[in-house]
Amino acid sequence: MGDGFDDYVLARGQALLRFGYLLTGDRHLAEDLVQEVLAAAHRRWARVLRLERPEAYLRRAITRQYLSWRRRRASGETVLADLPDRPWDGDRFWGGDPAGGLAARDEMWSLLATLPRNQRAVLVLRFYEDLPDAEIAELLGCATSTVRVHASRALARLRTALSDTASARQESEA
Amino acid sequence: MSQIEELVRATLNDRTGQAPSAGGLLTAVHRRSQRRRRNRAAALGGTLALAAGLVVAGPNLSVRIPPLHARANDAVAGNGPALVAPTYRPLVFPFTPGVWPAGLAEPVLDVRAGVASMRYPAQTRTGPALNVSVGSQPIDDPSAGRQPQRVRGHDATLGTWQAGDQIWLVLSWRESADEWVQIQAVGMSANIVASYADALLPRPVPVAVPFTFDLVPQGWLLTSVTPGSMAFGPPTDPVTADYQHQLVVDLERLDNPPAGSPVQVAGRPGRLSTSGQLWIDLGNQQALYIQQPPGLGTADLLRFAAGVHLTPVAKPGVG
Repeated sequence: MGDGFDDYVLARGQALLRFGYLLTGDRHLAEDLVQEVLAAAHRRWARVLRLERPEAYLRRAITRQYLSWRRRRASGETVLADLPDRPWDGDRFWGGDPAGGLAARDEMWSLLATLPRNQRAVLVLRFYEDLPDAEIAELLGCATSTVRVHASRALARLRTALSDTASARQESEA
Repeated sequence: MSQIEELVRATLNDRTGQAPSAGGLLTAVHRRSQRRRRNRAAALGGTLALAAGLVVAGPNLSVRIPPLHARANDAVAGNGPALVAPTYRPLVFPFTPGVWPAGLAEPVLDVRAGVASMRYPAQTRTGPALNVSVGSQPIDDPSAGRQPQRVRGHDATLGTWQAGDQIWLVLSWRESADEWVQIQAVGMSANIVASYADALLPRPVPVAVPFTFDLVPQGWLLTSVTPGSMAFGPPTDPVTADYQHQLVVDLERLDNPPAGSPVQVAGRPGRLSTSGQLWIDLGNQQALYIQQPPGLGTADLLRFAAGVHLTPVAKPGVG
């Protein structure tokens, strides 16, 4: 198929896999997700190319596939109950180096896996893709205020969970 | 940014290094694409074998359908809309320009995915250009360094956006509760862009259509118009930028015919692919591509295609 599809996949496939991996948190599922979306796009590639931003289209398709795919498998999902927000002492957890702590990032990665899919998708789109909330809303098919609620709840949940971990660690060290 | 947000960002960026390699991705995608095609054909083949030599007749139309392989969208044929004489509402651009900045070419109007645009294309590679877009939702603003402005009595932002070696000005504001406007311009000053915005008159301008139709799906809405394409969608489906589930007609320069079964549409040769793309050779180095939406059977697709007529404004390869 001499329509540039192969060249596109060779050039941008790795970036799409990175995005899929951050959404799913699983290498095999990320491959599955990205392959599925690209195979669907392959059939209508000429039309995809005519869009102003083909890559945005593909990322939207990956996100939607992830959300619907996760929905189909939701019965096996473990989701934390909503937790109350409370002050969190980050320094106590990582000694004043928020981005530098390997243990903190490992812990955060584990906690991201416990978020509901919409919340996780919002965090990935906001903090990895750097998309504004309005664009995330359009991508997820919801209101901008819903995006903010997802982000706020996700961050509150992570903050609380990290705080609990830090307290438990301190107690065990004492 | 809070500490927790910084940690989320650092974690996500850190973990990209563990993403799977794209080494075998292309091969896997091709394999999966072929499998999808085979599965689709196998699933539909048994129930949708069309009789050889079926002829659909109607006014100004004689469509001969040779033996065909099953097509994906035939699965739901029969539940779709009837074809009727068109009564759809034309699309408009909601403003009339009040001034014409020097050096701009004649504007072109289009509506895509709910966003109406007036585009003044550059006459030379480095010449000035200006696009005005109006939508019922905020329009994605690609600019950086946005500064507050006042436009037409509304709060607005003015930023810049680098596209290649050109720096575009992006002026965005909310005109009314359900009307968001954005102007993108290059090769002119911020004052001229603001003057243009202030002079826009709230008088709708109809968007010229490249085609007329003898028949359209009953109740479907006209969703997109460009100088080379039009799209219709069911009123229940949201209008999306990817044209999914829509009946799309594209005028394009003649290219290699796609793979598919040969068909005759109003005396013109065409091909119909298993994925629901109809291609018709118009004989003047131009071709029509028509995307078959779910619910519209093959016979109706061909009846629809036979009733498509080009208008003088039709321009290939722009849609």
